[in-house]
Amino acid sequence: MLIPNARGALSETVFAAMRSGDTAHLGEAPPSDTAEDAQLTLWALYEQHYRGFEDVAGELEWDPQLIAVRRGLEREFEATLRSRMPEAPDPEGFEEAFFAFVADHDGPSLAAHVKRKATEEQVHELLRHRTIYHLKEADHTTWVIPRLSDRVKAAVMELQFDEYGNGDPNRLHAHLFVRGLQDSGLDATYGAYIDEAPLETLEENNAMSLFGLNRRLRAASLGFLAAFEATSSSPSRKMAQGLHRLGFPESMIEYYTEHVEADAVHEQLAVRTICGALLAEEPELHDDVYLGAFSAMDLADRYAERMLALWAA
Amino acid sequence: MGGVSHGQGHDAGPGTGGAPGASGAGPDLDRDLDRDLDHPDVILCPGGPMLLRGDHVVHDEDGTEHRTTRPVSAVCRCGSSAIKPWCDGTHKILQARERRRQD
Repeated sequence: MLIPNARGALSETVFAAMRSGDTAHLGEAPPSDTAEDAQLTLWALYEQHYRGFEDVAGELEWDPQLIAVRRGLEREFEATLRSRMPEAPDPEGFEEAFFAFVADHDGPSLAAHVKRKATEEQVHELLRHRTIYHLKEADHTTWVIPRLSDRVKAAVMELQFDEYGNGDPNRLHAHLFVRGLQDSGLDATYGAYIDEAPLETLEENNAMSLFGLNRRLRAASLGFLAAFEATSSSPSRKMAQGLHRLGFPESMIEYYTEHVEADAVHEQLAVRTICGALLAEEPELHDDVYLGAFSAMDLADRYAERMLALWAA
Repeated sequence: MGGVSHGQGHDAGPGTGGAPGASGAGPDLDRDLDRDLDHPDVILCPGGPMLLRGDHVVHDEDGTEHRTTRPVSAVCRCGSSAIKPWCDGTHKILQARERRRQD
């Protein structure tokens, strides 16, 4: 993947420095023009820790000037995410309280639209945006593993191993998505659609990386995981039904039917053996679990609102 | 059991908003000295499925065999899953419906 097209003064300056390797003057980089400019810049700085860019030198992954820009942007983003968050439920009876918190959260449903009314063109657009996450599905949680106790680490691996196809690359969830994209006539190249990713997609992906790459936010990362899994089975079934209605290829449908079954397991693991166990050991991380959980649901809502308004659905 | 000290050595309270020191201590390394950590073969989730660890063949009501394919599988206990014998999260929809009915 090449570095994306800039979307404002900050991304313009930072991306030019990344391409040239001349980062010395980034201390005087202009402020971001828009939230999108800031989020795209942050996304590219995080991406250096995943697959990186063909036109950026590998040494720049830990360049102090770039890390300084990243820290500034992620501090601001973390404050935004915290400011959006409602009060967390009482710590008593965590598992049931968590499921209730998720059940009581009311947001717009893209999957319901796909099931009943979306056009093929709309679904293609949705799938192109979802490549930004699904082609590195589950990777953000993997960052957290070395930061956990033995008990919680093993519990996360039990879930992640399933995400990664139980050792079979053909069953790895990101690869199931590759096959579905190819059969649907879409580009499955990693990062191919970054230039059309809207603000909400960038924010969702950046929240995953923010929580995953900062050890102190490990509870938010696992809370994000738990809410993500706990809001997946039923929407995945609706997605599969919509794809079937529109005549999408079997492989794309299978990506979603796999998630109906897998995520019904994963939600139990994420809430009980992962977050529940984490909080039994470190109860002071309770509110951070909910920071992650709320962010997962709120960011999905924001994306859904944007797309449903755009499609006048 | 023994040798585990929960919540010791952490001075940060909940919701400290990422202030310096919050969650900074990392996992309490002593807790890894607990030699026998719970890892049951079967977990009955309250109001949810039965989790099965490892490889099993499940006979459904019709006598059809279903082999597990995951490290952990969730067996439907509410009876309403569309992908029985596996759980598909339908129990949550039933519970929400029941809550609305009671409200």
